[in-house]
Amino acid sequence: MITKLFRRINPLITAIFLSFILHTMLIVFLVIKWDPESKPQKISAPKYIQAKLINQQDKRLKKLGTKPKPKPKRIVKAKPKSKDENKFQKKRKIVEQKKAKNSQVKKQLEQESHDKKMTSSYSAYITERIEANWNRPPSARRGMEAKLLIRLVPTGQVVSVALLKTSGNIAFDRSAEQAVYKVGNFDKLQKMDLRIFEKSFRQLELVFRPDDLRL
Amino acid sequence: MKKFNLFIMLFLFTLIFPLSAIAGLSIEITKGVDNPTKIAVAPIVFDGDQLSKDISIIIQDDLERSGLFEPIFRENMLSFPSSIKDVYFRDWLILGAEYLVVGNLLINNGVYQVTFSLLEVHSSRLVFTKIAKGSKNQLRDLAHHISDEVYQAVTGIAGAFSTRVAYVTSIKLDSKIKYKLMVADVDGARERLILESNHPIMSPSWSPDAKELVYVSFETGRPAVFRQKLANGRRKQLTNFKGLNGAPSWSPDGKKLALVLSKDGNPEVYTYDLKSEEFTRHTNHFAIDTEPNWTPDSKSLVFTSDRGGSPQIYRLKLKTSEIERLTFRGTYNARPRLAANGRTLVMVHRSAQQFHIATQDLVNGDLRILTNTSLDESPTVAPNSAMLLYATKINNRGVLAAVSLDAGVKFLLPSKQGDVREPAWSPK
Repeated sequence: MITKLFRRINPLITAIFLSFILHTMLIVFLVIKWDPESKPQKISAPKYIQAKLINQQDKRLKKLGTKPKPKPKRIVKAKPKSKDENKFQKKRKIVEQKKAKNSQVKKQLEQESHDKKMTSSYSAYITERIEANWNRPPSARRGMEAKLLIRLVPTGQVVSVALLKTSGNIAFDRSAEQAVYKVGNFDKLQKMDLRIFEKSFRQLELVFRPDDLRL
Repeated sequence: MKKFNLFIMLFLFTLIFPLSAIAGLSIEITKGVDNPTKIAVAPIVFDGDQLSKDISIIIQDDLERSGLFEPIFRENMLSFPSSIKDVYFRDWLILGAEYLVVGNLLINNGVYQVTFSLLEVHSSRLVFTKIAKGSKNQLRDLAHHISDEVYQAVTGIAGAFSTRVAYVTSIKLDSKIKYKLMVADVDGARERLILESNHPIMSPSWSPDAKELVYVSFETGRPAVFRQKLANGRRKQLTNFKGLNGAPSWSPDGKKLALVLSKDGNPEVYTYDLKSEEFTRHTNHFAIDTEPNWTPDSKSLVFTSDRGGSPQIYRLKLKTSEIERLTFRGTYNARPRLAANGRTLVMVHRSAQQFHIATQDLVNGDLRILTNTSLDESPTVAPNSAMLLYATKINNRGVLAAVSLDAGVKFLLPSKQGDVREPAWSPK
């Protein structure tokens, strides 16, 4: 009786177990995949300092004066190697490349944060324009949700509106579409950097989900 | 093999989940405005002539009276298109119209045929084109039908412009009072006399097919319930008991009436089977039980009772005779009517010594007072649950008033003469 029960349960347990493993693997996979994007900058920073220690002189040493012990070792080790000029130059080149790379990364980061700021401020502008024009039908209820895909051109003009997901209420869907048509032109987008526009605004997903209705 | 299938399934799931997370920029819209929709109803003409009844004005008035539309008046229109191909959307954009109704009429062997279209102005899109047919004296019905279609498309709620209202008027002539049972379109047009009497007439209630009425008449010397066909005026007396015979209410499935009888000494709620002509008593309490009304599934009744010390509303399950109190706020809640959605209870509620019409949401318990008139009575809900009519007193005269169930729209229906009371909105 019990064994029978076990046999019945077994596939379920294995299924749960397998899905658990797969999900942990998935999470691990995602985490590992996400990490490198942020870590390289952290790792490269100390490398950058260490490399300079070898090539350049006392100024750098003084700056790192609080950690005197590892430096002498390095210098000692570096000296014999430095006899070989080629090797030394090679290292220098690598270091310079790394330097360039790092500044590039820095620039990229700055740009990214700038882009993020612009994107969110323009998103807020779009939200505001649509909310001011969204005239909801009396059959609209909390919990309804319609999704639209709209396409814009850099002048801010809406060139197409498509319903991605219906709320189940045709009048509600139509009111959402109409809100976009009523705005017609998000003219402030003209001032936007074309790069940001291409990245995030040529095609937008709008989710209409009222949360201020009584019912 | 089974395990292998399982593997495949899980593998697919793990594939699908991360995919669904990939999306472009998504903006969330959570707020909006709720203004009346601006609509233009272009004149519906026949061979360039105006009709005896101006259909488009009737439509425009219907929509405006609902409170959900703001019409653009004809004198402001820049063009009068009668079909889609004549429409220049720019003309209507300038006027701020959101929707446009155009139509034209053909007469074929005495059949009046209206082809009408609803257009969205901002997107220049056609919502629908439909055809309605009728006879020469049905022009008003055609107009109400078009209003219903437009209203439903824009609001997502079924229209109720083709429905009617029954009500009782009383006019004092010399020292006598004349009572009349009347039926009219909801816009007050086509008023029709159903019954005239020197004795009071009360509590009209519609059959679910809207072809008959039941009401209480005192013409026999004591209150009695009558049933009358509207088409031919044929009527039948249903009750002749000693004492109170009142407040009949036709069940939504058409099979029964709920009513109040005091033949056993005290007002109790009964049902009357229209087929078997049998009465069944449902309440048994020394308090007054009255004003029964049906739930939409015809399985329960709501009624007023003062069994708790003050008039409150109760629900009675017919099968089990289980009784549940529904109202707890205030010391007076009476005359219950349930909207067709089964969720909104409409009643007379006393607050600050004044009688108002209020709604109570049976799911979340919200009580809302809808009216700011006083001495309000007899609420009756439109079949689309969007609006209700009630009787009230203005300058000591009984008039009908309307209010939307969200309390956004309120208006009075002035009577031509005398007092108007006891409105009953037809279910169709």
